[in-house]
Amino acid sequence: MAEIFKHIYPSKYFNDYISRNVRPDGRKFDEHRDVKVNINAITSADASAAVKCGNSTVVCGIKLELAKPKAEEPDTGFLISNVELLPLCSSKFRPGPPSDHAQVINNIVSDIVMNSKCIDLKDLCLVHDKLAWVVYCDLVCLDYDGSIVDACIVAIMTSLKTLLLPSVSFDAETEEVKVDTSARLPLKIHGLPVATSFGIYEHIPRNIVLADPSAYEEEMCGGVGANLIVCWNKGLFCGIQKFGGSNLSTEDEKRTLVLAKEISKLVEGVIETCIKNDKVK
Amino acid sequence: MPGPDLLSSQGLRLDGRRPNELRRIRCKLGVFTQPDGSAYLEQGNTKVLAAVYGPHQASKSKRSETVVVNCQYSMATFSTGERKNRPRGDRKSQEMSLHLRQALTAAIKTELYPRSQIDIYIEVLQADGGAYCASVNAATLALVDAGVPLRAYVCACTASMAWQDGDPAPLLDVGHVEEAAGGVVLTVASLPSTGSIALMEMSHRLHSDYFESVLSRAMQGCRDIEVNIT
Repeated sequence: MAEIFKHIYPSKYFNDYISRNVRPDGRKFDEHRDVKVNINAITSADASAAVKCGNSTVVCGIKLELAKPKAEEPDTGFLISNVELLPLCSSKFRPGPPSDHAQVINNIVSDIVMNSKCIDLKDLCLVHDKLAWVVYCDLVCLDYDGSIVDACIVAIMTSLKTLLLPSVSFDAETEEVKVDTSARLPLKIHGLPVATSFGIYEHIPRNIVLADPSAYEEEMCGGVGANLIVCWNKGLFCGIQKFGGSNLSTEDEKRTLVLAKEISKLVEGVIETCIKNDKVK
Repeated sequence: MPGPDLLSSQGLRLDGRRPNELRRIRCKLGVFTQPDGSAYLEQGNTKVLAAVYGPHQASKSKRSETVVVNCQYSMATFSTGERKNRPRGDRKSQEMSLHLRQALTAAIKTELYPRSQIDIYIEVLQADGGAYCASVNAATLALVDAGVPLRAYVCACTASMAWQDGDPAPLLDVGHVEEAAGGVVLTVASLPSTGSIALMEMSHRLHSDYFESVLSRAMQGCRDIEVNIT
C-alpha cells in the first residue's frame, strides 16, 4: 500500500515523513548510513576495494601500466580515474556513452583526489623523461542509491592505500625495462580525503539539510547533481561543492561542515581498520 | 596431438582438478536493490554480476508480439590480466551480448509479455575463463530473482579435450590457463531439464570421432551446474 502511494504521489509521501522529523528509511536528518569496506576482492587487479554506503555499492580496481612522461613534465607520473555508471546500477541510466551526470561525477572525483595531493605524482616517475607509472583507477558503480561521490572517494582511497608497486629496473643503454612483480613496495599516501554529500529539501519555513541522501531523497531534493559535497582531509577542510539546487542558509552551512568533519573521522577509522585486519590475516 | 600437457601423469589438470570436476561455484540472489532481479555468481576465479530490469514498456521502435530481450555484456577494465580499454561496444562484447540474448530467449516464455522489454545487464568483474558460461548461469538466477516465467533453467558449460596415455579424456569447465595453452574449447548452453541445447559454439579443430564425448561431457556439466545453483 505504501509502495503504491510512493509511486503515485512521491512528494506528498516524502513530505509526510519530513513533517514528522524523520526520513522514509527511519534515519534522523543528521544520520548517515553504515559504511562497509572490503579489499582485495578482485585478484586480476593490482589493488581493489569494494565499498557499500547503505545500499550504494562501488567497486574500484587499479591497473598499473608503464609509459613515457609528458615532454613538458618529464618527472611526473599519471593518475587517471574513471567512474562508470552502468545501466546495471539503476533504471535511470541507459546503455550507451557516458551521460552528462556520469561525466560530472567523474570530474568531481578526479578533482577531489588530485587537489588533495594525496599522491605526489613525482613518486610515480621511475626514470626522468623516460619511464613513469600510469595508475588507472576504474570505479564501477554496481548499485546506485544516492551519495555516489562519497562511496567512490572511499573506494579509490582504500585501493590506493593497499596498492603495491612492483620494482622496475631500467637499462639506460639498451632501453630495456624489467618489471619484478615479486618485490613490491607500497605507494606513499599523504592524507585521506573523505567526502560527505548532503541534500537540501525545500520546506516551509526553513529548508532542511539531509545527510547522506538515498536515491529517492536525492530526487526529492532537486535531482541528481544538486547535492552539497563537503570534503575533509584528516581534520583539514579541503573542498566544498554545490551545483544548483535549493538555497542553503549560512548557519546550516556551518552545521554541515561540523557534521562532515565527524563523519570523515568515522570513515577514516573504518578504512584503517579494514586495512589493518587484512594485514593481520 | 594438441594439449599433451593439460593432464599430468597422475591425471590432474593444471589447477589440480580431475577431468570431470567443476570449479567451485558460489552464488547469491538479490544482491542489489535497484534492479528487479539480480544475482552474483563465482565460478572458480571468474566473478560475474547480473541485473534484470523488467518486463517494462518497450521503446517505440521495438514493439513486437513477443517480449524483446535486450542483453548487454560488459567487462570491467580491471577484469583481465591486461587492462581492457573498451569495456563494451567492441566486437567481442557485442558477439557475447548476441549469444546471451539467443540463449536466454530460448528459455523465457516470450509469448506472455507482448509489446514489453526485458533488460539483462551482465558485468564481469574478474575473467578467468568461462566468462560466457558464468554470465548465462548468473542471468538465469537473476531472471528467477526477478520473477520472470521461464520454460526451464539455462545452464552453460565449457568442455575441452586432452589425452592421457593415448586415451581421450574430455575435460570439464576450462579455465583461462587451459584455454591459453591451446586446447579445444566447446561452449554449450542447454536447458538441462529438457535435455535440449540452446547454443553451442566451438572454433577449434577437433576430430569428429571425439566430438560426441566432449559434447556429452559438457551436457553433463550443465546438469551438474543446474543441480548446484537451484
